[in-house]
Amino acid sequence: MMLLTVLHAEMLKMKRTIALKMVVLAPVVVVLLVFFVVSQAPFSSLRRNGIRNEWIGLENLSLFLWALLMMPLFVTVESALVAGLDHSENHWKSLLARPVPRWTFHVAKLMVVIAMTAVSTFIIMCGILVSGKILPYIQPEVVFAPPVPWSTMVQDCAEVIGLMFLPLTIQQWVSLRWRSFSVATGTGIVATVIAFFATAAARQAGSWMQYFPWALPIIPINNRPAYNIPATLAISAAIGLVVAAISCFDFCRREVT
Amino acid sequence: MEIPIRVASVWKSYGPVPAVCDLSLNVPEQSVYGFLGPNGAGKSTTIRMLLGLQRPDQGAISLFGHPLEGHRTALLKRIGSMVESPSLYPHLTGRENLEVHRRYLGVPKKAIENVLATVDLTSVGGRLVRHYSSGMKQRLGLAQALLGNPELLVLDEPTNGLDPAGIHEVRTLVRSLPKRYGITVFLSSHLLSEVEQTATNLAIMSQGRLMFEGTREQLRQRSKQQILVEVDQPERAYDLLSRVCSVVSCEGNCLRIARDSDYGSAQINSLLVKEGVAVTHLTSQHPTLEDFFLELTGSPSAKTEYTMQ
Repeated sequence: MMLLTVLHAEMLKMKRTIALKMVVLAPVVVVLLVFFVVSQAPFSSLRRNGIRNEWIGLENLSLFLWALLMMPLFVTVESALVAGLDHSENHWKSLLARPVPRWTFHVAKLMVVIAMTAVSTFIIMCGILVSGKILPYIQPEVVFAPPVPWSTMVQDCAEVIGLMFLPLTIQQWVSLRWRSFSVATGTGIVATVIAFFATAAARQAGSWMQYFPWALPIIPINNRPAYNIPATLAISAAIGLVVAAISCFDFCRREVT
Repeated sequence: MEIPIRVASVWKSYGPVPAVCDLSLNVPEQSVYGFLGPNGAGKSTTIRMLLGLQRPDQGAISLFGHPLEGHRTALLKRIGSMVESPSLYPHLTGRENLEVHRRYLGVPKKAIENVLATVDLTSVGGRLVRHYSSGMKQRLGLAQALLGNPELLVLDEPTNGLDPAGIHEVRTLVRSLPKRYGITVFLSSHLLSEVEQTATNLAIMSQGRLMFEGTREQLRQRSKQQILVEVDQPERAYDLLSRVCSVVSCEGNCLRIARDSDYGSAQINSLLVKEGVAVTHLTSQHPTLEDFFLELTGSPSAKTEYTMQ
């Protein structure tokens, strides 16, 4: 009950913030970019890796861009902004003097970032559908034949979000631990760049780098047959929960100066 | 009767630097308790410990008769606070800022309008806080602190950054709280003038230590009359006078003597003249509370003032 109350307050705090606008902006950028690429080169972009279904091709391309690049950066910035709301002007001295258990603030902020990531991914999915409806008017040779592969799309999106949980908890810890926006964003940017190279390396040699936390979300899109996705999901989620618990413990113990 | 704040032998250090040393306080119910001290005296650290934002290294803090450790959430329900500057979200309106805190406190929605009326911000409650003046922000911070109908209000430097009119408003509001709502106010400041006019009880801190605790009247009694003597041989005069009365200070040719005995100006003058010390100036002074405060806190400005006199 108390968690719900803090969650409500946390959502109210987000009103009129750039963090909230980014929930729509970030996926829309990906959707527009993919739309542009496909409208210019429909066959080479939609039929990569021998994919025969245009819907799946469009979904793969969109989620590839989202999971590899935009989502890690999005989570980085959102975590930093959500934590930064209370780091600025040291709001902690007033919030933590309220009759509310400290852990609820930590969990509420984590839930807000997860919810934002989920909503953005949902917008990507909606964008895929809209693009699929508009693209045939621009490129008549591309046929998005019914039915729309709903189950595949929902499953892929859910897996991408699930695999983002571990890097998200790490990012959340960094953002709450250090007041500096640069520390949080710097960590996320460096990790995203490493993940980019890790993904490229994993594609060729199956390097251990494929298990770098920020490289995990790309697994279902990039090389699904080579992985046991449910096991990867379960293990990464378990580690993510441990990271979140340690981060929460650290948050509760910290003194407000 | 529950004592709102009881601090017993509390110590707190930041690494090797001691911030609060052996601090003991007793804040009576429905008082305005002025917590005075220069910057760096340990006031904010004490306030943070009272609110559970920091833990003391040693000693115990109890609020309303219960130890803070282990009863934090229940006790904080009875406390409103404003530490240093008000914590406001500039992208939200005044009402929305209060709504955030109302949710934490679980009080009815009408409480927002009540506190806005108390601090006279009803008409601008719908305006974004980024467009508020410093005084309005300070008053909104007070409204935030008053939101849960607290029994104890902890205010750290509440008039910081306010113009004289704003200071007067906050002072009047704070003074009225014990009578109007039965609230005990713990008010920290580095300005004696501010606390002197508001507080019924006072504590003075310096370098982490408590130098004085008592009522305003007790403080006035402590700042007794003094006699200032200017002589041609200060060392000899010091020798002579320290045998018969207490010499507070000796700066240049001037000696400051506490008038705590029957030894008055006439007796001092006659003794010095009889012993061949020329008295060039002799005056009786009643130090202000500020003098006493500066003396207790060992402020360099106090010494300068004495030297100039």
